[in-house]
Amino acid sequence: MTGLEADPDDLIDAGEITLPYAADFYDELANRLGAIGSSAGRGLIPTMSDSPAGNALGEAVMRCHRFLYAVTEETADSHRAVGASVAEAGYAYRESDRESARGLEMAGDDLTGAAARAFDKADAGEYEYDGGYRFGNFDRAEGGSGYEDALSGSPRQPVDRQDYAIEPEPLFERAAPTDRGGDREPLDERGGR
Amino acid sequence: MPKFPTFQSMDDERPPTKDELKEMIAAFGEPLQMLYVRSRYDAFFNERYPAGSSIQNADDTWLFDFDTRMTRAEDEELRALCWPLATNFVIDLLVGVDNLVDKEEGDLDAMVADLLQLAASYEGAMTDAKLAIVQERFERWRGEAGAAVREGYSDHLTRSTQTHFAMANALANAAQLDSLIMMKIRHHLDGLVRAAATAIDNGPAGPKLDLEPIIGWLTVIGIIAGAPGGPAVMSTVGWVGGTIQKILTELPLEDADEPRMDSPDPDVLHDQVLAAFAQVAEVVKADREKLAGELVAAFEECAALVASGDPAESSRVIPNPNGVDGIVL
Repeated sequence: MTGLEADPDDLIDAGEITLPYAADFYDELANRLGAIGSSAGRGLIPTMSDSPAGNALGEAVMRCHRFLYAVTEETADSHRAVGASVAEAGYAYRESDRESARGLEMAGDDLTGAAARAFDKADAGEYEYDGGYRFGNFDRAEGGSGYEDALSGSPRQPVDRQDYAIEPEPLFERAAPTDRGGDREPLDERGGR
Repeated sequence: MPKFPTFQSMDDERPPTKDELKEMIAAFGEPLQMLYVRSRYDAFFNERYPAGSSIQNADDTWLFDFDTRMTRAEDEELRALCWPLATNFVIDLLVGVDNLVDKEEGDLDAMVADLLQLAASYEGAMTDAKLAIVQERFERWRGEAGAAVREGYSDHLTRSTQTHFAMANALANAAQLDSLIMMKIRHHLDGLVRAAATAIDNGPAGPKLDLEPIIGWLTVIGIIAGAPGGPAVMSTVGWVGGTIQKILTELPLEDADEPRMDSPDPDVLHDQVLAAFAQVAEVVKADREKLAGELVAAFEECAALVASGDPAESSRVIPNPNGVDGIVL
């Protein structure tokens, strides 16, 4: 992510998922506020239209209630609009990332050459660059697979993944809370990459 | 001497409901009629018997509670004159109660509960609507676009949720106050009705109503928040109790203003009672107008921010990087 202005996925997620959700949240609040107003009934508007004591406070409540309603509606619209434009920005960033990445792609010849060099090494029996488990050269793995134990003794169950010298794959730098609410594990929304 | 030393004691001792007040008043009919009969009797008698009468009508204790010196028919005639007067008196009282107790406290209280719940939702928006995530994402957005969106939008998310929270609370407080005012009015009318009853009982017709008078009921209007703390139901966020306490303690009636309701003459008493109703209406009206002014002033601050035209300002109320147009109080 270094070198880029923003992580396009952050912006797209925020714009397409989080902000529309916030907008719906505020729409819901506006609905509740409207329902409160319309069910206030004779608390706000008395039966006698011309009470000698007036209804100044009730009228002020209605006026301010209306203002808060407008504010809530506008907040919902605003979140929705910001979401749309932020998602757009995210796609633009992603597109420009691809554009700039294009120059870094390996040419076919380079790729062949690099692969060929690796095969040369392998042919020569040099596997050291590998951690030991991936290409099955267990006999040379150090403290890794327990291959020799497996041959000589009783079957050995690995107690944890470190027995295989496998680093757990680091999660992306994502905030602990998820986009979609609840206490679920973060969704692997970037599985395709 | 106030009837209630603290707000809590006033809240604990619920005043009679509108219907109970009206029932109390409905019982005024008979004694009032008798009061009118006594006040009209001399004039009526002198008109019919300028030279005096020798009639001893011992039987009419079933009609009047004193012996008259007129014929039975004339007794009935006098009663027929006084009956509408007493009825009008009662109707005036009933209308006065209807006019003043014109709002449903239950509806208001339900509204208060709903608004307080709604306020809690507004307050939780940062976590519940995941706005905190948005804010954090935009923090990581470098460059000009990121700076612009933070300045006009995401930096204000917390503040705008707080503003919404405060506004919803202010509405809840206002509705709560409106409900308390209704309770205050009922307390006041309770005192008024009892005072009127006492005046009727003190008349020549003697005690009939036996409603216990309330000493110091007139100061109730000023006492509501006399004790520190004030109403416990009020939210302390938004437009608050400080104002409320000030307003409610500022309105004690002067002794000189105290309406007098002690005349044994039903006509004078009628005027006195109507004046007392008018006074309650006046005090309550001033009360409400002042509170309404304060509430609107609190909202006008938000409205001014919205109307400022500067996104950094209006986003305190409505987070929008492009500013807000057309939202007025």
